[in-house]
Amino acid sequence: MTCHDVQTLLPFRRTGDLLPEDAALLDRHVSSCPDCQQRLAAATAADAALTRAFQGVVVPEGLKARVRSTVAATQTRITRQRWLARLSAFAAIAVTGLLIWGYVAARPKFDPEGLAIVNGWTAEAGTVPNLVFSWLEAERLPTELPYEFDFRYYVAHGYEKLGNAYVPVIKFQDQSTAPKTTFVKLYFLRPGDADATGASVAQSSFCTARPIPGPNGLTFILVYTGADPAPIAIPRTRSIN
Amino acid sequence: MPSIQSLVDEHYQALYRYAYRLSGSAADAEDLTQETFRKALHRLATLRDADRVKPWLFRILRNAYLHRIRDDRRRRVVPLDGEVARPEAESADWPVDPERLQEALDNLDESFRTPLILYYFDDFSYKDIADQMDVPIGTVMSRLARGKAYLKDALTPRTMP
Repeated sequence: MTCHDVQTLLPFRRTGDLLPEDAALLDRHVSSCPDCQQRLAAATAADAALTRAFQGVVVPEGLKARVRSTVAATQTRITRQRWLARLSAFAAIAVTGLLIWGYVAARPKFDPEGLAIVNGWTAEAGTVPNLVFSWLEAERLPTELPYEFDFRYYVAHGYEKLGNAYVPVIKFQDQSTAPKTTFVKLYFLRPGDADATGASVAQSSFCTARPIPGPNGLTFILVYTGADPAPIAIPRTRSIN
Repeated sequence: MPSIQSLVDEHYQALYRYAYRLSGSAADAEDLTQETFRKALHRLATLRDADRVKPWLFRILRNAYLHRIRDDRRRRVVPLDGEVARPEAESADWPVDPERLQEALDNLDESFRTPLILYYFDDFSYKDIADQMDVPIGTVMSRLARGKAYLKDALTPRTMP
């Protein structure tokens, strides 16, 4: 290492930026070179003087206490904000939970075994249709249906889970064809439930699904066994739109 | 991870001195110190390496200072960009008046002032300074060399003719 190298590397020696092997080479050279020793001593003294001057700033009395006080106040504010945020989130979850619980608790259950099939009219004839239409009104569903339904075949009304949506449905069944199952279901597919735009009649070997446009974006889906829903359901002659 | 109060106890003096050298004003230095610890409190979770707390705090302070002065139309008057660094004045023992030092620093642009301040506050390597300022190490070396030459010229006692 030459004196010129030492002059170049000296600033790095102070800051610790030199690699250990370079620092060792520099120290070895300096230890045997009077000129570089003097140069190093002068640079060290100059740096020391400037360091003392740079750090020679009088720190105001009480600064530490004031900063601690500011930090403590900020900590309190942050803690309060975090608790408020947690409380808001909890409240939102609780309200949402209550709404979901209320909705789930209030909506009619689909209970095909819970209600007797109405055959013929009794003294309380008209009760089941009134029940169903009252339910439709309460659910803000259209009471004008695309088919005339014979409520002697009525089984139940409620919700069925289709995909991620709970879809209102009325079920009718002809028990006289047992053991062969004959049923008709009328689904009320609302715009938020699924997109039934462009849906067409689907048939399988067992049943038929017929979409019928309803009011306000709603789609009726009539599902029935076989190719004809009669006598349970008979199409109306006029359009409902 | 250290608590914020322990950081205050350990670093408030160094931060205040740094802030004073940057701003040249005791009032601004205290404001900057307060602001630095407030911001550090918000960002404490982002501190990855407890050993790097000091450079982390200094960086927060410098950014706070730069934010304050960005609209300051009063620019420092001593340009050092084109100045060639002269060989360091070799003096084994020359006193440096801290107030004269501040006057000299106040005349420097922040881009030259900061490396000088960080260099003489110890513990800051060229790499640390380069990281603080987001500039290459070579730029730091160049600005330091020019800055040191300027300071020594400004602070060396003049002999009367």
